[in-house]
Amino acid sequence: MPLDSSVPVRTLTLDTFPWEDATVVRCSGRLTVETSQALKMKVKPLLPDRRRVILDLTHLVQMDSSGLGVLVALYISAKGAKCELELVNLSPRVRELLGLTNLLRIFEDCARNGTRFP
Amino acid sequence: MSTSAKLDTKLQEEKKALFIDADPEIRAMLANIFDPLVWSVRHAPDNKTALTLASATHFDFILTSEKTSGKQDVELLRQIRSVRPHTRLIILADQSTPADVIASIREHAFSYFSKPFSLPTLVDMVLTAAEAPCWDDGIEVKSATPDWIRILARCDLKTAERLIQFMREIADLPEPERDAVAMAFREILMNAIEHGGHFRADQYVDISYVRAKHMVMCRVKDPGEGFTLDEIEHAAIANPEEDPLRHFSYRAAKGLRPGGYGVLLVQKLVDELIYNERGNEVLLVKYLDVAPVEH
Repeated sequence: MPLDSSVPVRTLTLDTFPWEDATVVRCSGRLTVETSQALKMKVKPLLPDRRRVILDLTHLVQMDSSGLGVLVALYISAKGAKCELELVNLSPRVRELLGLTNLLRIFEDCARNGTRFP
Repeated sequence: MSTSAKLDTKLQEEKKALFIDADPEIRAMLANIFDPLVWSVRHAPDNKTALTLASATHFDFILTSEKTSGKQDVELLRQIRSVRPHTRLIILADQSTPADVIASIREHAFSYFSKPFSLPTLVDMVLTAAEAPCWDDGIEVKSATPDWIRILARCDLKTAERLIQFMREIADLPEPERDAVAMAFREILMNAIEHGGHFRADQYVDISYVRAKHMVMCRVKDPGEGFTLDEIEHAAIANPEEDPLRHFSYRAAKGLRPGGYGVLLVQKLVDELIYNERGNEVLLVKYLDVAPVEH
C-alpha cells in the first residue's frame, strides 16, 4: 500500500515482554490504516519461533478495517506457523467491530484465556 | 561547525508556537510534543493579546483556548489570517454550533475540537499540524448550510483525518449514531482516496453531507474508474457468513495488503449503502430515531 511515509506511526505503541510461556505484545493507541502495518511487522516475525503470542488490546483506543485485516492476517500466519495467537482484553468497541464483520467467533476461540490475563 | 554557525542553523530552523490560555492538562500535553530545541513557545492570556502577538510575529502553529467559544475563535482566526495568511491554527471551543465549524473551515482552520473532546485525538492532530512540511489546506467548501454541506478534499491521509474531525464536529447527532456515521464515513473516505485517488495530491474527493429530521446522508464521489460490487471477491462483503476469511486467499493471490473489511463494516454501521452504476460514487444513509411529536 503506498502509504505516505511522513505519517507518524507513533500513535500505535507496541511493547513486547515475556509472560509465562508466551510473548505478550501490548498495543496502545490506534490500530488503523496508518499504523496497522507496524503491528504486522512486529508480530509476524515472532510467530515461527514462539508457541504462543498474546496481543493485549487493553489500551487500544481506535481500530478500523485495516486493523481488523491485520489481526486476521496474523491469525492466518500463526495457524500456518503452529503458533497460538490470542487476543486479550478486548474493549466493547473492538468486540463490536469483530462481531459486525463475523470475526468474533474466530477470535473468541483464540481469546479464551483473556479473562485470566492480568 | 562553529558556535555561530550552530546558532545560525538553530535560528533558521526554529519554529514558533502560540498557546492561548491553555489549562494545565493541555499545557502538559503540549510540553511533550513541542521540543524546546526546535520550538519557541509563547503563551497569551486571551484572544486580544494573541492577535497582537500574531500580528507582530509569524507563528507556525497556534492553539486557541478551550474556554472561548467557536465563534470567538473563528473571528480571531479571520483577523490573524488577514495579516498572516498561512497561519496554522487549531480551534478548541467550549461552545460550538455546526455553523461555527463551517465558518472555521471557510477560514482555513487546521482543525476544530469542541468539549468534550478526546485528548489522544487532539494530540494526533497537533502532531500533524506541527509536522506538516508546508501549509496547503486541501479542504474546500463548495457550498454549505448547517443542513447541507458540499466539500472537496485532497486525496491524502492527513487531509482525510482533518476532514473527519471537522465532520464529527458538524454532525449534530446522538452519540451512538455519531460514532457509527463517523466510522462509516472514515472507511468510505479512506477507500475513496486510496482506490479512487491513489493518494495523489492533485486528485480530490467530492463529499456532501445532508442532515434531515429523520436521517443523515453522506455522499462520497472519488476520481477513480469505479468498480462493481459483484466483482470484488477480494472484499469480505463477498464472503459467506460461515467463512469470514475466504477473501484472504484472493487478496494473497493478487498481492493485496491484509484487509477487505471496509465495505462490510460500513454496510453494518449504516442503514443504506448505495453505489452508483460506475462504482465511484456512494451514498451512506443513517436513519434517526425521533421522539413522537405531540399534537
